[in-house]
Amino acid sequence: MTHVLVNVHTNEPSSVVAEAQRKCRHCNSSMPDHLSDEFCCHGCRSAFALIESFELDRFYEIVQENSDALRPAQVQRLDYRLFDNPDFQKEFVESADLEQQTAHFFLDNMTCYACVWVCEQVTKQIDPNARLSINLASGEATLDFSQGKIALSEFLHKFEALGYAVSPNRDFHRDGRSDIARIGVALFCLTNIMMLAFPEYLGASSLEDRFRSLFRWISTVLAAFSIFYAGWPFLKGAAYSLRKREVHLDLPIGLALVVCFFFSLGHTIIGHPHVYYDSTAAVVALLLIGRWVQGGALRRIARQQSQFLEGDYRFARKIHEDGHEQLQALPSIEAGARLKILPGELVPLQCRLMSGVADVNYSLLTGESASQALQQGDLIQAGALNGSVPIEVLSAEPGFQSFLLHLHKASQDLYRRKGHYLGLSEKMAKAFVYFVLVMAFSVLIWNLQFSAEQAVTRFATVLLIACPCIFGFGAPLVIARAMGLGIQRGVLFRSQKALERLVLVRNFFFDKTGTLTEDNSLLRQARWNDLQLQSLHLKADQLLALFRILPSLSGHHVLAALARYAGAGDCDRSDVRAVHEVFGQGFSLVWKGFDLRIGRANFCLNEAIVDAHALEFSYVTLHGKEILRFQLEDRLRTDARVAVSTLQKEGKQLYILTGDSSERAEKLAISLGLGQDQFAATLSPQQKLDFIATGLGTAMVGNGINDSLALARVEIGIAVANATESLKEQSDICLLRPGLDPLIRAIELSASTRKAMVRCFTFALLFNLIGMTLAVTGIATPVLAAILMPISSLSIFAIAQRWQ
Amino acid sequence: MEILYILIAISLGMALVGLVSFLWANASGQFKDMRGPAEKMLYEDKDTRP
Repeated sequence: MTHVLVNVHTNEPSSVVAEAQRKCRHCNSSMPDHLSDEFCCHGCRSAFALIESFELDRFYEIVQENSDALRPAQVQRLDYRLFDNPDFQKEFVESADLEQQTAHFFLDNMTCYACVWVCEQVTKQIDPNARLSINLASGEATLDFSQGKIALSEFLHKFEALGYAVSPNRDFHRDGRSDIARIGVALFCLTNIMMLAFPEYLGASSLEDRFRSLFRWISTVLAAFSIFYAGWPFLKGAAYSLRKREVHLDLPIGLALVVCFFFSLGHTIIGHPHVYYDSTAAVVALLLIGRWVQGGALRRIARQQSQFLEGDYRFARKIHEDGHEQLQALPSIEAGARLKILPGELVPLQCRLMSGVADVNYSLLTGESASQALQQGDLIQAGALNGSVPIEVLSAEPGFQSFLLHLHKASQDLYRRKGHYLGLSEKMAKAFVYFVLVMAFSVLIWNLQFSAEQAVTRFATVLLIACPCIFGFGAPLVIARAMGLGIQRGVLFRSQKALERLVLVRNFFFDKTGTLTEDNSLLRQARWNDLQLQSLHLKADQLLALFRILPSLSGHHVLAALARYAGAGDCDRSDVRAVHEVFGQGFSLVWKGFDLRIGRANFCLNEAIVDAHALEFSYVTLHGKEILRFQLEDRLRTDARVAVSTLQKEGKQLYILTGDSSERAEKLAISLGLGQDQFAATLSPQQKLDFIATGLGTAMVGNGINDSLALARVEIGIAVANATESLKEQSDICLLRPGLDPLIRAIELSASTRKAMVRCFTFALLFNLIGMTLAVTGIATPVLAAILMPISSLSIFAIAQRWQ
Repeated sequence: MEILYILIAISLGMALVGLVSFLWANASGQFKDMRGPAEKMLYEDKDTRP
């Protein structure tokens, strides 16, 4: 099969492209010079191979926008066999009958029609009867397939190999169509009412009475349609609020709509000049549009959020009878199953400890960070964080009863409700509602002594002129827009507090390894002690085989570096017991009967250290005898220097907190242009916590479970893109792209969000102050209120939507 | 001025036609995906491979 390398963006022949810069054959991004390959990464190579094997080369002709977005992830994010689990499927798969199922999920990275096309073709080739349809705009996909013939995971694995990650769509029942229909109806009513009201704007005398009365009656019908069909959500909300005796923004809105409608209806019947159908219809239309935009933004954020947490505690690592481990959906775990939990992972359900000893803490649930030592047979609660040893447990309850699942569901529900992000403005909204209601009713009662008509007129004026827009959709729109912009710029704000307060943070604490530096550090100056090896009758190959399995014991970067150093080859799965991690020191384990240690000199070596030079190394020792010494080479993240100097320019105080040696910390601090007092080395997680004296105005940026204590102490905890799941879970802000550049973007965004908020609030406050004064004193007529109200709504809308 | 009766009826009728067709389009899912179908038609006829 010939595939001419053509730059599909411009359709230039390959020779021209080759001269300019070599591009990856799959994703067409420019390639690093040192690669002699046709592909920029392994993911692109396999995606290309997959597309070729299905004979779908046309993909490269129709793809319009090939860029980094096309590049598949190099590591598989999820084990999609989970998606075959019947319990898990309940959340996103509908079965018409035994033969036919429909799965609802999201496909990420859909950039243009070529992506849709290639996924559809691949589906067809896997099973000609299966049908995939993809919404290119939203990434929602539905797959009709037959579970009995081909498992769902077969399809999903292929999609991910092509670079489209899959996450289940649990919200598939939601249909946005009724929202759009309501907006359409509201706008229809508004425009026609305004057309009919136009003569009245020009003055009462410009129209004969019979026409005016006709126009009013037509308007009455239109307004009723607008309020009782399009505005139904507000009326329902107001009724709910009354029934539950909870103050809610819908209450004054619903009240104003109903009062204005019946007031105008009364005036229409008796032929009184003032009717307010136009303003009522305008309020309905604007509020509906505001909520629709806001709802869409919040759903996008909730989706992003759920993608993050998908891989974590919703699954458990089950050990089967034959000893092999498999990730399984938590709801499908039965009571009495054997599970394995790695250091830094969450305990997914209530269980009993099987293996020796363990230390866990409940910091995620209670904030209490002290770890508890446990013995074999002890009960562990769901939500505990496993400390330093991989443990085996027996589940004490079926997975679907897990407290964590309930928690997860509760928080998902919260994200669906609009109020979740709106701490401050929600409180102010409540106060505002009370204020408006009290004002309106006191105006009503006070004016009753003069005349009923004056009382009702002013009552309606107050309700109408009081513009709840800032709370109703102004603040939510600002927040929603900020969160949306955040995701575009590689930042996920997990709370409104984080968004509002990040810009105020003065002191930033950084973890070193994996945060400021790449987490795939390399071994440097590795030196084997051959004499020792010989005297113990061992070969270096045996240790290398052990190194390859180390990452399965703990996610610590030293173990990962050793595994990388060992490269590919045989693995030694036998005889590793009693793995124990001493934070900041190293690991000890029993291997072939040896006491094997990996870590710092004073932790590993028996003899006293004589020369300071030896302290700079890390060691692998057997019974305290040196086998291998090495240093880890820190590779500074490419954007770390720029990020640090940007933060310093803005007057922030930066500190590096690390469990590593002072030499390495100092070297790094100097290369970043930080002073002597701006780093602290050889810190345990507890010492990291102590270093951060006060919580206010501080932020901690970290990646590992050893940062979790510090992250809990600071005001805003930030997890970098490669952080462990439980740290992300605990953080206020997750960076979505590697590096520290997203952090700078996040701070900028926080600053502009605050500005936009302040602008909105100031405008609304001024408007309401003036308006209320006019309404209470009777200077403003309801007509004026009705004209002012939409103007203020529109201004707020414009302010909330137009900022960068 | 009697013409107003007819004009109003016509204008409301036209607006109603617009609203009904909007509601129909919405109900039949035409606003669900604003990108896919527009791009799809450019490639559909070539879908059959030689």
